[in-house]
Amino acid sequence: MTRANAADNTKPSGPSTETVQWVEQARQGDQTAFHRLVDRYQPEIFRMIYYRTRSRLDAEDLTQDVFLRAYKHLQRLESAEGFRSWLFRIAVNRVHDHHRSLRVKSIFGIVSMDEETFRETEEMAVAPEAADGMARKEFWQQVNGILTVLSRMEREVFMLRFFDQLSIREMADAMKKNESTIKTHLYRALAKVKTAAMQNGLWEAT
Amino acid sequence: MTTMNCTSHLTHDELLTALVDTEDLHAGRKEHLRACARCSHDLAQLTFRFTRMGQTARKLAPAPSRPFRLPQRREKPSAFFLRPVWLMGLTAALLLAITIWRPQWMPHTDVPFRMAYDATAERELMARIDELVDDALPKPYQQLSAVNAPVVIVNPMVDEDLINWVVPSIDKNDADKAEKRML
Repeated sequence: MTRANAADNTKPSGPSTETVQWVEQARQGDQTAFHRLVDRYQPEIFRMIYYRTRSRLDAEDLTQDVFLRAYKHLQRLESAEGFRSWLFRIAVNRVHDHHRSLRVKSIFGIVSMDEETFRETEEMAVAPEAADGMARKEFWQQVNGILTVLSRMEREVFMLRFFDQLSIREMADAMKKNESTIKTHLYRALAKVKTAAMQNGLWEAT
Repeated sequence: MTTMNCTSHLTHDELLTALVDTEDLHAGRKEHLRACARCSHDLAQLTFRFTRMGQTARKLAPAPSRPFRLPQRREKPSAFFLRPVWLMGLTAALLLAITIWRPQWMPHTDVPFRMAYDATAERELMARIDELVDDALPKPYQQLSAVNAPVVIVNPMVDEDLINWVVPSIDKNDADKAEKRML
């Protein structure tokens, strides 16, 4: 890691001219252009949702839903350059809706909120590789231990920054907050995560 | 890069601020960070530790397996279902208002007057029936009926004696008179 990399953290990478062109074509009803955008952004939107739901099946469903909504409301997008952060905003909202729905269902006993049991069972069904499963389980247990010390906003900002690799400006767009608010939450999150990671040994382990 | 100004390295908080955005550091501290190898190394190490968490997460995350497909265009439903609900509600409210207030231009029916007439006739009929119940017989027969009624014959003497016998008088003179009369 160089100083240049560290300094680049806050700067948006910026969409390629190709991406902007596809967005413009998709806005005019070109489905092929939209499918190209899906091919480009689906993996990171899927991962972003997976980090927050820890369920592959839910992540698949929600990713489909995010792109469907994006296609439906593409005319609302203010500028083609902000397509990525706009997609993340839709995804963040859908994940919040999903968690809210799970809480309501758990109240009526429809689903269990015992997240570990639920997710592990599902993971075994779709990814039976034992080694990967153990590594994944151990990593997420440590990450969960750290993330629990953060508030909801701090957790979201931290994950968008370091897990989803969004710039400060993209995070501000995705969360509809100004940049200074994002920076304040990110600073608090970093301080808490650093302390917690030292305590639970995550930095030594990874 | 040199090891200049090593006595005032970036603090823990300043390193975190630099990690969020180096532009948020004061100009002097920014200058120090640019020149000091130790502070730059500390910042790079801190950045690396945080970014490695994200890298590990990406490495362990599965890839999406379901290809995205836009749904096929569906036929539009019939126009009735496209009609806004509020329009139907407004129509119903308007019809209700017209029914209740009945504007001048609406044709009036005489059904209520006919009903009033029928009610008067019914009241008259009931009054006539009541009269017949009270005076069921014609006038001449009513007199005969009065003759057959039980007649109370009043005999003052017997009556007085009977009363005295049942309830004797406390006056002695009266009692003597009654005895003499009996004898």
